[in-house]
Amino acid sequence: MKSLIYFCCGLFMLAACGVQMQTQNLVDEWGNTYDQEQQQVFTDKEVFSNQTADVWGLEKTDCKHFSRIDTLAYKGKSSIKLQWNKTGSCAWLGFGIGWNGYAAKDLTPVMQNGKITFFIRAIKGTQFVPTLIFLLEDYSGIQTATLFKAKYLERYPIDEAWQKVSIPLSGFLEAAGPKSDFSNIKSLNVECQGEGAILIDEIYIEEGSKLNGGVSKKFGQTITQTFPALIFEDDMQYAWGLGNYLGRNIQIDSQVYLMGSKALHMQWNITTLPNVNNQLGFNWERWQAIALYDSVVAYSLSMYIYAPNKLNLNMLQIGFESYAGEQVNIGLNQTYVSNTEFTDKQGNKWLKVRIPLAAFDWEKTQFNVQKFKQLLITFTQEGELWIDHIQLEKN
Amino acid sequence: MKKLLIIFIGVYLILFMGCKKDTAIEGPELIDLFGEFALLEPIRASVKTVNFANQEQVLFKGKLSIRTQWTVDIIGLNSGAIKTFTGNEKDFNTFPITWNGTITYAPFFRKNEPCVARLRFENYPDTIYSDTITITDIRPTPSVDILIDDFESPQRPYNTFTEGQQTFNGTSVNYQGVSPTEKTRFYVLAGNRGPTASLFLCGMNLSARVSQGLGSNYFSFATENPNNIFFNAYIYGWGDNKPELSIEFQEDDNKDGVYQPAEEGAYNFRLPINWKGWKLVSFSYGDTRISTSGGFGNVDRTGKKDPDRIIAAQFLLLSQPGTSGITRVGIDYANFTYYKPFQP
Amino acid sequence: MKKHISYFTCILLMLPIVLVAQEKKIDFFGSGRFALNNGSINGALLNTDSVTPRKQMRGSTLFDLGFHIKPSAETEIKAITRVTNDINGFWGGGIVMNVRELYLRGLLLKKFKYQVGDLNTRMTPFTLYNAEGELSLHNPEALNTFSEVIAYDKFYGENSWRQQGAQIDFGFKFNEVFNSMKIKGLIAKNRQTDYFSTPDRLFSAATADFTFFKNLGLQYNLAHIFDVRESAMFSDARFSNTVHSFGLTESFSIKQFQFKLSGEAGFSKVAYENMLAAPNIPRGNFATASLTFNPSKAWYVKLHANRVETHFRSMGAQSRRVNFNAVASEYAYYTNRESVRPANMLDILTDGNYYNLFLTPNLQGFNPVYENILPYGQATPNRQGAQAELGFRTKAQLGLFTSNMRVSRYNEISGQGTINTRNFSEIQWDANSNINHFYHGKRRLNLSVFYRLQNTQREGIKNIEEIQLNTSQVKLGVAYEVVPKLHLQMGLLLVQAKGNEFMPTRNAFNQVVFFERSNYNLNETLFLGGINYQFSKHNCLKIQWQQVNWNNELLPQNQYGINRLSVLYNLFF
Repeated sequence: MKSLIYFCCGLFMLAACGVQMQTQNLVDEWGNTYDQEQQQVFTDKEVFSNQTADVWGLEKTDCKHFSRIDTLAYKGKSSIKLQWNKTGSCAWLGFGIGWNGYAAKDLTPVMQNGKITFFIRAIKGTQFVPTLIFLLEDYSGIQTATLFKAKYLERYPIDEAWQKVSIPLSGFLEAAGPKSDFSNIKSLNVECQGEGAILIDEIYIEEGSKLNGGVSKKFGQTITQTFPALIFEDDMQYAWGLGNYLGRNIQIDSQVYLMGSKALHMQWNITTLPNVNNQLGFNWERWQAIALYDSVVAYSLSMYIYAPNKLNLNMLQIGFESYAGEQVNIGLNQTYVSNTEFTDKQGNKWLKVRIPLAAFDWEKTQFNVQKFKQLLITFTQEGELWIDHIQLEKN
Repeated sequence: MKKLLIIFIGVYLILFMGCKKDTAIEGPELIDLFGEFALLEPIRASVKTVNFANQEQVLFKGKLSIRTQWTVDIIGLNSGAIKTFTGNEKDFNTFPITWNGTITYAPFFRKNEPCVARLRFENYPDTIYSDTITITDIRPTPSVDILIDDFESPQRPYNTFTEGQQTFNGTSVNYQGVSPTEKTRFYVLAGNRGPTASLFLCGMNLSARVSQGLGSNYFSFATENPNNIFFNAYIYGWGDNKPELSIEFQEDDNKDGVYQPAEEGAYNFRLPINWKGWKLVSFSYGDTRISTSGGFGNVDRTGKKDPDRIIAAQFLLLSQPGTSGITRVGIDYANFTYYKPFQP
Repeated sequence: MKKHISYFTCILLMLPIVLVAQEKKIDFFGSGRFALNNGSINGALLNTDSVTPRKQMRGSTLFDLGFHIKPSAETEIKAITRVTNDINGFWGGGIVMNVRELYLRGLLLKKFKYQVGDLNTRMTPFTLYNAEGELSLHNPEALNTFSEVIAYDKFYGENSWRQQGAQIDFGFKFNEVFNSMKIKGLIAKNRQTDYFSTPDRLFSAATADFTFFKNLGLQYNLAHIFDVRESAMFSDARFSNTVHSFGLTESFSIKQFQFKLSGEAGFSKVAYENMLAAPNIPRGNFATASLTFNPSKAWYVKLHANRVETHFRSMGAQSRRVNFNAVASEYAYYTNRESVRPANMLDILTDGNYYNLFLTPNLQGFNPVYENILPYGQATPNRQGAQAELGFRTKAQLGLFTSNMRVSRYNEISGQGTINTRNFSEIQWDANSNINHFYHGKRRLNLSVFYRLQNTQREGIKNIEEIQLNTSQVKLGVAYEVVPKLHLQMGLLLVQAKGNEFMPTRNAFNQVVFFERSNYNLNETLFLGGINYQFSKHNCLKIQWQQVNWNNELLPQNQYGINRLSVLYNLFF
């Protein structure tokens, strides 16, 4: 009894001296949680970070130049550089990673909800969605494939800024034909088709969130219900196309704006540069596929534009793209520009542009109005203007 | 880093500096278990004559090849007295057997009596005898602290009782060829038990008043500690392993001068008589147990042993279960000693 | 009828669980097994044995259903029920249901972790440790499933003992110098009282772990076993065994080499109170030190020294896995006298009857043919010596090639039955390789080999004290992947023993009271061959032919062989 009293006094003294107690976890005698004990926790997560141990296919041939570079990386010091142009003479093009020393990996705990994630960027300029086939190969040699799709990107196109790609592992489960033994995976292989020039880094297998019964809410599809729906105000959270490149300079400007504290400043001259990317894209629901609550004819797109030369307005086309790839565009003409001017703090005169969605030819392209991907602003020739407060509003 | 190396080297040195053998042997010696038995040196006495009255002693020495259980009996060739030593040492040159004239089995050794030592083994058939030793004078009979009875007075008012199977219950000079251990008489309890009869044959109760003749109802001890009061008596067995002797002490718990068997405790010591000859039996009062016979001393008012309230000593002859026929036991020189058993 | 009642009760019990599952987290897991052995006996034994049946068929099915219930983020409950059925006789042996495991684990204020119920307990090799059993290491793949089954049934985790009681963990964080302190305490019941003369026996333990400078660890362990006298009112007898242990670990590097130094020292005390003829056991000390370093990624070297005094007693560390006094489940008796058949290799490797589930208070007997140097693990009393080990592994995760060699030299501290002491020496080598990688074969081909030679010597009077015993073990294994998931597995094990030994017989106080003199000229062979189909990582079917031959040249009339066809289906989910 005395020993217990002395011990408790010792504990109180330690606590009084400000010594912190360690946080305990619900683990067993060997430090494993129940899930780890039942091997329901996936541990072979790191596929590629900085090393190229267990990576094959990094070589230079007529059709490809795959290598590890130590000058550019999303994290750490190295990334994998992939440059290829598959011509008819080339056999299979690609590379593979055995990861974890080619130990047999059990992916079954993560096949339903997990994903392959990595960071991607274009080596230079922009890169359209490369044709990549991801393959999981097991130790009996069976490979199961899933295709790399644009929807796995955070934004499009792939530019020189790193962005995260998430490829759901459930895609492998939907593949046709005999599937690999996902409890006995040997390597992740990537087959390259067409041509491309990209850097990839930090390839991981991530677990998805476990669902506690019931129907899971499918991520990627949403309905905009609150109007007006703000597409752009002071930042471009779900947008792409910013940057100062040859022939175009698109930046957020905090000097000239009408509402909020910033506006989008566009300045371009691509008259003699036909291959320059001349578009911006905006999504207003975290890059999910968007459906509108009502029919599209019930809504309009509005924005405020300040153009020192009002003729520059004619250099703009406004459009939408769906996740199925359809596009609709309309030229910004006087029909949609109101005569009312709005003056900002610097005395600049802003015009309101309002385009009814009914004006777009949805039928012609068979646009899937349940899967809006982005608002596109296309610019041609030469011009300079500022755009602020882009929103979708009800008629 | 250096400190760690020093620690490691220190630990290492401690481990291997401590690597000395332990000279103690674990378990019995193998040579004792598996070695061949041989008498390396026969048993021999240190003297040819001994005067125990002068407190002289005899040392017996010898040597065996292995450790084995042995018994040394020193036998009086005239009296038949026996002193017994047992042990398992293989070399009793270093620690010899020492005899100071005492006995294990009565009668006593006699003056000018020749004696011989006999060495026997539990696991081997060999028997070896020493040379004869002559006792020139015997050890003075030691005194006892309280003599209960030496049974020399046949007219003493013993309270005898039976359940009808008694064949003898009194003192005797020579009962069925058996002589007393000392002086001329001893007490005999004998009965004949039928196969289905009660185990109890007969008994004798001797009150403290009659025993001591001092006018007091109780035995008067110099100590109240039951563990320091020893009862001693010579008990004769006929070697038939039939009798059991219960030596009982009745306590007058409320000191009213009367023992109430249903309300006052009696403590006994039961002896299966499985030997032949006179044997000195000793036990402390602390070794006795309360009677288990209902209504006969199984309840103690004070809840403990009270030697100063012992009002009577009682001797009961019982048959051992499964035996029948003539059952007998002899008793002589019953006494109390303090602090240690009687050593004649 | 009883079956129907059992099934109905199960369903009834599961109903609320199903309902609860929709609100709280409940997970189900378990295992299933079907085992069938069809054996026959042959050999010179049968010439004089007309009693032992020539053929035996035994089998059983079992199903474990486990529930993992997490009522909140800070509490979890785990329970496993078992249903077993022996395949016995025409109508079957009847179903037995019992609760196999039950514990509650939780966090209190996220600072204290507690667990009550079944515990897997382990401390250090001298305080509380479940040392590996004989023949258990470096076996061919053909024996894998059998050893996994035994380890699962007997709750052998990682050298842990299953006990029932309560445990608590907590710790403190300090600073850069004194990094942390972790405290663990446990109390478990080791023996149940009979309420008369056998008192309750409890096992209590505590560990304090201190970390300094991130790499230096100091540890104190206490293991204390004691009887609760008041739990049995007709006996004053009481036993206690206390072990104190102080440990040190340090990792450091010199140039590019990584070193790990560890050491442990302590002592034990044993006390017997109010027991007739109980001895006074002196204090027993022990000390051990080891140094491991990696000359390169592929190589490792380990040096180890040990000294454990004769009177060192530690019930938690000296309890053995293999109980050679047990009776086999097949052919338990032999000869017309119906003597207990001594265990052979096949028994030890596949029969769970030979394995202890709980701690034992006394030093149990062992068979020197299989292990004579450290039969009680590192805590074997009356031993001092050293070991050196060298290991090599290349592309271990591919299983390309691993090999280890170990040399040991030990001797007794005090002689048993004589002033002369035993000297022990051992050399051991093993290698394992997936050789298909060498010739780029697609189908896996694994080869394993193990060899061990032990020598025991003692000088003294011939036939009375002198000992000369040589034992050797050879294990060879082949596993070939015929088609994906289907392996052809073969194994060959050889044990030879020649010489003599004196085996101590101990009384209830662990004192040596006698020696059994034994002579050996033993040859044992075990051949295994069969197929293994791995449905998934934890689900396999094994069909195997097993042939063991036991021949003691000193008793040629008792030579026997057992041939057995074994079918084992084992599933974990």
